[in-house]
Amino acid sequence: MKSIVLLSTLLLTSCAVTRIERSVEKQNDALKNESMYRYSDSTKKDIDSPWKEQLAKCYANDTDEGKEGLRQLMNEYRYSASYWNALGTCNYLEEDYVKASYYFDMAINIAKKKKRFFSPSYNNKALIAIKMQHFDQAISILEDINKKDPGFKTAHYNLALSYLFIGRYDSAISKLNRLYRANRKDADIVSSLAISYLLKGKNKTAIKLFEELDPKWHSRGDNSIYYGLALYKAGKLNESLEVINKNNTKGIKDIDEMVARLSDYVEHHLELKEEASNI
Amino acid sequence: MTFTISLQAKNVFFAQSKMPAKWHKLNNLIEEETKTIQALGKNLGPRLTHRMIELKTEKVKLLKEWENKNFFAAPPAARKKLGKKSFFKESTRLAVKVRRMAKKILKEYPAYRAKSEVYYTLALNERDYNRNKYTEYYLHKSLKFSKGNNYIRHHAFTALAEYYYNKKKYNKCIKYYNQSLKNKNDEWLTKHMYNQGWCYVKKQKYNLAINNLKEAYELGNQDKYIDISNQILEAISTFFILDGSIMEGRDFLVSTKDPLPYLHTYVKKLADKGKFKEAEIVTNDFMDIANSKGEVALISKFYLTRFDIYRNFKKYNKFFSAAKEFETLVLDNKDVEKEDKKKKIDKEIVSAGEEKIKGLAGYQQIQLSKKSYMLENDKKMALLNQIVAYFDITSNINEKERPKYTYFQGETYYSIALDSAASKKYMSSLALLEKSKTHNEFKKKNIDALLSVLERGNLKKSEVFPTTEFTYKKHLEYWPVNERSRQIYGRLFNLYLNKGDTENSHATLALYQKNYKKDGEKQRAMLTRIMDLYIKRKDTDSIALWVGKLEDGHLSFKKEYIKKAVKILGQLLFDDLQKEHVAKNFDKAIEGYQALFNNEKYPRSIKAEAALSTSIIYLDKLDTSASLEWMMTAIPLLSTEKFNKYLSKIDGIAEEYLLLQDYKGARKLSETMSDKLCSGKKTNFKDSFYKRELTSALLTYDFSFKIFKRVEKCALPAKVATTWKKKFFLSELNFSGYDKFIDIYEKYEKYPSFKKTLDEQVMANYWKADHAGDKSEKRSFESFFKKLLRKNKNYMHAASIKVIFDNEKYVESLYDWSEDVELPNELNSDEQFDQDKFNAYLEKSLAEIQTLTNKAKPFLNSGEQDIIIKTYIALNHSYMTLATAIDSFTPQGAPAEFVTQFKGFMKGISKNLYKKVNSHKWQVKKLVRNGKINSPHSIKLTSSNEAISNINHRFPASFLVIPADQKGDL
Repeated sequence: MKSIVLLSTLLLTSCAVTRIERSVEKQNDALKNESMYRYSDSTKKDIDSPWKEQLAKCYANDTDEGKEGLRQLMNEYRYSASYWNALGTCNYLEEDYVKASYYFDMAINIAKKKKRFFSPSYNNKALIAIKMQHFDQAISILEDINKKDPGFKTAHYNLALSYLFIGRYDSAISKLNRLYRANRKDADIVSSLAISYLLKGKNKTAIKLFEELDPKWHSRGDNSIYYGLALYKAGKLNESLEVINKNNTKGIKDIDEMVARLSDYVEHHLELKEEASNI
Repeated sequence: MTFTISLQAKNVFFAQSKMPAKWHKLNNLIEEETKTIQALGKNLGPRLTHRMIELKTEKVKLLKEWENKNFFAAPPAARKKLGKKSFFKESTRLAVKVRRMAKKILKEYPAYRAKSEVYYTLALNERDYNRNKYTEYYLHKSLKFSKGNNYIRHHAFTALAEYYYNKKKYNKCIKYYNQSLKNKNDEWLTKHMYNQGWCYVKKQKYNLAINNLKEAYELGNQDKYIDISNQILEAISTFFILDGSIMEGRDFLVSTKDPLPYLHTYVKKLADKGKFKEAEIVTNDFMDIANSKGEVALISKFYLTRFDIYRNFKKYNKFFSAAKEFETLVLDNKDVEKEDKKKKIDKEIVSAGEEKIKGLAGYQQIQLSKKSYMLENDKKMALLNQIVAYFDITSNINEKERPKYTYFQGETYYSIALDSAASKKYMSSLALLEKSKTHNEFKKKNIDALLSVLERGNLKKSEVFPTTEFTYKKHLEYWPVNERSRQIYGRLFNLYLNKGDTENSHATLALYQKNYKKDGEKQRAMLTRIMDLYIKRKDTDSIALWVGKLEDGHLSFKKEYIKKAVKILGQLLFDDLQKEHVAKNFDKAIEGYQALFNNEKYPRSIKAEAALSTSIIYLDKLDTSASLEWMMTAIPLLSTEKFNKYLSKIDGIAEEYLLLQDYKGARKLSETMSDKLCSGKKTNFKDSFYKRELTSALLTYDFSFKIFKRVEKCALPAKVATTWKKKFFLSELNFSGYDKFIDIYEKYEKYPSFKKTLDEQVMANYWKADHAGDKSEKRSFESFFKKLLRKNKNYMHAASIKVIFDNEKYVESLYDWSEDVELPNELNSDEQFDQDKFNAYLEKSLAEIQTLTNKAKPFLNSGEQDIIIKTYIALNHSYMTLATAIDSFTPQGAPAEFVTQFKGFMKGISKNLYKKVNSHKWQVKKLVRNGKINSPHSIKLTSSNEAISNINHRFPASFLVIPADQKGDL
């Protein structure tokens, strides 16, 4: 009985899914051939497969419809690794990691039978590990993908973020720079690289990269924190506060708390600065 | 006194016959008179002796009567054994005695005046009781001595006439009758005339004979004469015929008082003499008279004669007419009362008439049969119709025999191959026999005849079936158990089946089965043929009905056949529906299958198949819920064999449920199947269903180990269970989040194989909570650690936990120290700078931080990245606090030069402190770069942005990572 209560609690919790804005224009999407996650509405028009249409629904936060759509397509795609990966992804997006993992494994096994290495599912399994705070495991998987499928950019990107999480900025910068060189307009790559530099202590480079971003990205939670931090470090307290206050990502506890603390912190120093200038 | 004689011969006694009273009376009289005469003494005179002779002669008569009766009453064997003479001893003895007595008188009394009477007595005695040798002699002697005695002369003449008649001496006979007839007083005159008439006939003097009889007939009307008119009329008819005066005879007979019997006889005699024409004339006279008198009984009798005559003279048409008349007569008078003797026709007469008609009909039947090929068709048909009509007549006059005669009619038709008419008659006969309880032998005859008709194959096509059916059915009805019936069951069955009449085929088979239980093989073959017909007709309802019966053991069919039948039924039932299914007309197919399922006629196996098919269609419709419902309906209905046959399919369906994301459905079906297979040996399927059950449980987050109880119960591989327990454990562990870890730990710690993994995870999850900045969880872990240690002092992570707790205290002491390390108030006041006090503070602080730094060694050497980072962070904080405090201190009230020197000196001290800080950071960076430290806390040391530490920074990687979904065409 205890396990049932535990399960229901878990599932209820899992339903509260909040995401930050990720869609990027097609020409700016360095990973567009590997992930539809950040497809803009215009890019979605290029979707050429029924299962992708359903996956797009999951990415658009309509996982129930997406999963049902995929279910309807099962007979057609039962031998497709991409299909099972898509179903896993929908479950992943719902934070139903047991099922997600199951379907990613299915995709991997189908690919194995075709003697292929299916990087997307490995990548996604790594993402589950990240979600579950198993960064060591995630890094291990992602590094393995990098070795076996070096051209698979998404794994590089996700590995870079994992490095960032544990403070391995140089490794992160290395990965991100490669991606950046390939596409300098990809907001996530640019901002991640900027954050990497910021955390490494190369504030100017960080600011420069943040400035490369379309200003609309500055208001996304992560950017408003890190760009704010960079501006703060540069002594641009007012600009810092302005960027911080533009944050339009709400509902993600980690980001909300950091934004709040940072805002207080910068305001405090701005006050100190104003007091000092008054003296 | 009663006269009795015992007859004894060789110890054989016979009962004495009782004689009539008249005999006894006469005997008594004789006895009494004899005794009276004997009482007179032995020496009697001629007259009394003569009287005694007379008495004894009478006595001989009586004795003879009595002996005669005894003779006929005696058993034949006794008669044969004893011989006739022995029966007549007494009378013979007495007759001899009488002859002796008579001879004695004649000898002893030659002048005895009644001598002629004695001779007459001797003549009669010789005639009646002796060899008749001396009769003529004694009679002539009697005549010789009879002068004056007309009485004795008359009797002697008469006796001599009779004697000569018997000796065929007709002239003498006529002569002595002429003498006798002179006596007109003899009441037997008519008789003597009659007798003399016969002598004339013998002498071919028919006219005289006729005259004698006519006169005698007339005299017979007188009371003084004995009336022998019967004899006269009987004889005279013959005399007329002999004389050739037939019409005269006819006129004479017609003129008599009661002519009919004699006319009847006359007709017979005429016919006997071949005089058919004359007989026919007299017949008409008879009929006219008889009809006018209403003499039905006599007419009926007369018909018998007519039948004989017509048949003898081959006058068949007349016979037929007579027969029709006879029929009418009989039928018209059948209700006449017994008492009405004139009109009441004797049964015997009717019976005799029937026999005669039947006889002719039978004869003609043979003729028809033998000569039909020779006869022209018209004649043949006329003859046929007549024969048939005769049997109608016989039937009408003897209704009880109608079944028999109807059969004969059938035989008549059959004899000339008119089989259609014949069969109808046979059937009619049987129908009549149904009503009567007699003539059972004709049931067989009719049936045999019908079988012959059928065998000959001459019936019209339209008649063959009804006739055959009738014949076979009746045969089976009359003789349900009979060797021929045994064959006929099959034939009747075939007859019905060839007509497609399955109902009657079944009825015949049922009857056959009832009466011949041992003919199972043949009966199974018959039912198989019906089933084949049903199959041909696609009559699924009937097939279903019989399959059900077969499954219940009817006729003990082999399982293979039943299986085959069920398969065919299934094919028939499912064929169209399968086509609909293939054509993706799912709703139509489902509707069809459900109709089959709901139809009570169909056996369990069909219902099972229907439910199974419905389940599969719903699966094709991707409606796993409905599919499961029907599958759960189908499974209990499946026979063991079908269940085993469909195992693979059901396994696949359960897998489809899983693939279609119906985890509960997949689990329920797999669980059901696991249960059903539990005690069986279908190891592969058992394992497969069990594994899917586990998978489904896992995917629905049911990590309960209850599911593993089946391992022991169902002999499932323990290795599978072990593997899956681990999967359950790891899934719960990995996917439940660190905040649930303590619950998970407590759940699994009792399993030794998981304990190590759990303990390994203990520290990791503690640090995850720490990384996440979740202080509440962290505290929970710490309490948990204490609990673990209380339970087991030697707990594997006891040292690590101790380090954590010690480090916490240590870090806390550093922060506490940092808070306290500020300059004393007196130094910070506006009062005059007290260098001694400052120096004491500086020395003390530097000494303390050194001491604290020294205390960090165990933590820095702990190998635990977060302990190291935390230690460094705390140390750096202390160093930075002290350095800032020293750096920012400006002595009050001191000369400016002093202040400059002082600050420069202090800068040197703080610089070392900062160096220390940077050294710590460098240490950490190095570890991070080398991958030795993978902690989000490192950022607090590795980042140059102090704000990062202050905002409790944690990089939100999990929100920023990107799932991948494409890779070529895989």
